[in-house]
Amino acid sequence: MTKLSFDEWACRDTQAKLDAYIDGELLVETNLELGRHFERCETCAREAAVRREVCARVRVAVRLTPVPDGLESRLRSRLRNSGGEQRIPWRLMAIAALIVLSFGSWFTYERSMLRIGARNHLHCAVIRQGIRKPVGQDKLASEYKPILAAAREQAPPGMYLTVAHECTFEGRKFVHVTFRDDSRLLSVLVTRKGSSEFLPGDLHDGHVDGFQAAAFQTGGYLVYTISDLSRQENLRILAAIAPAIKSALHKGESA
Amino acid sequence: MQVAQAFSWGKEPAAPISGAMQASGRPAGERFEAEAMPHLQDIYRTALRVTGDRAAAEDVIQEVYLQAWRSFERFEAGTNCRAWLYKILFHCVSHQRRKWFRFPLLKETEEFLEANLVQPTSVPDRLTDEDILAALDGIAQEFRSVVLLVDVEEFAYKEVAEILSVPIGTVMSRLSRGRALLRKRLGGVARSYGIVKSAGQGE
Repeated sequence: MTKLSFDEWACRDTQAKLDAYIDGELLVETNLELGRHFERCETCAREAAVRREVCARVRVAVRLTPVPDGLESRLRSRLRNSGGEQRIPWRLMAIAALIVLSFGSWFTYERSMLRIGARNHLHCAVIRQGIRKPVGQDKLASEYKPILAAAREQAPPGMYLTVAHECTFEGRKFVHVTFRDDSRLLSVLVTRKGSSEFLPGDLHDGHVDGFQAAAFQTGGYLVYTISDLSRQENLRILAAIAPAIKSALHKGESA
Repeated sequence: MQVAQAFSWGKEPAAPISGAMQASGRPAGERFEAEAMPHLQDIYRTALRVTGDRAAAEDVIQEVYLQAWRSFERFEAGTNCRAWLYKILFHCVSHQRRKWFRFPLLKETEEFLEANLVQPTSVPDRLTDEDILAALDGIAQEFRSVVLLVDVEEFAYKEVAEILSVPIGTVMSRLSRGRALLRKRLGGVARSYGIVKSAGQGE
């Protein structure tokens, strides 16, 4: 085994911390230690200077890259058009439902119904919560608690609650309960079904937009589990929570 | 309130950009204009370096801003809009990887470079911005992304970890490897210009 002198060891230790040092990511004490090392080691001091210099040159080179003419106006035009487009999918969905049923293309329609839940999962659980990293927030009104309780009972071991709340995506409102662990996300979603939407029969499932999606319709509602879990596990959870959710949803209607 | 009544929010048509109102009472279009639009040029430049192609970069930023706009009604004022937009950017890029990405250099090539190129003792002024960008574009995308987010966009390691959905240790190791590859590539360019001598040449 190679033995290192104290100075060699100090240099190796410093080199390993240099990137964090130039980025200001070290603790104050460690910063001071490195500063003291630079006073007696010209090689490490020079290496820190080179690394800073490379970062600065990269920053300048990228920031001076010209942006194409009209980029912003093309984007604004696309965004303006999307304001109207947001209303279209629901009308299209109704028309599409009729067309696809006429041609027996049930599969396409079923996927579009599953996508309703998957898109909210993507925008709320993946993107929005991905930045804010909430843990254990229960913001649900008391009437939705049975949904949270059922979901909590059936969530896989090791997955913890991030948020239980009401959210809106593309004008549609959801009761949304999310769980996560280090690598997986699970959403349980309930939304009111549109007049042209229907998911007859028992459970439906499929792989939509990169997620495992399962859904069923109960009365005027659509209930989803969307996740990175296996198909079986995602379906199992939906099947297991279905009785409690149906009971919660229809208790109010029959009262 | 009964559950059935509580769900009466149902499905409502979305308002156009200029008309949608946020909970704060400020029109969504106005907030989007103030919080999201100022980052357009930075996001375009990052998208260009990640995709390597102007048309692909423009496609991806249009997708980023569309997704951001669709989700904006739930974006809370005061949270980090810039980091949120970058998270959407890297999400869009990873979903379109096969369509947009230039293929990263083979691992063997990187290892060859690491073993054979000279570490520069400074960055010669004669290296142009084009040289710097060519060296940056030459390193594998996973390293390049972290270098861009830290060195150019000046995000903290924690923010980069959230944007890329990777642990902070992964950010640190990718950054270290990416910067080392970049320095070695720049050393190679400088050597090819005769600015620095390679190992083995006389001092």
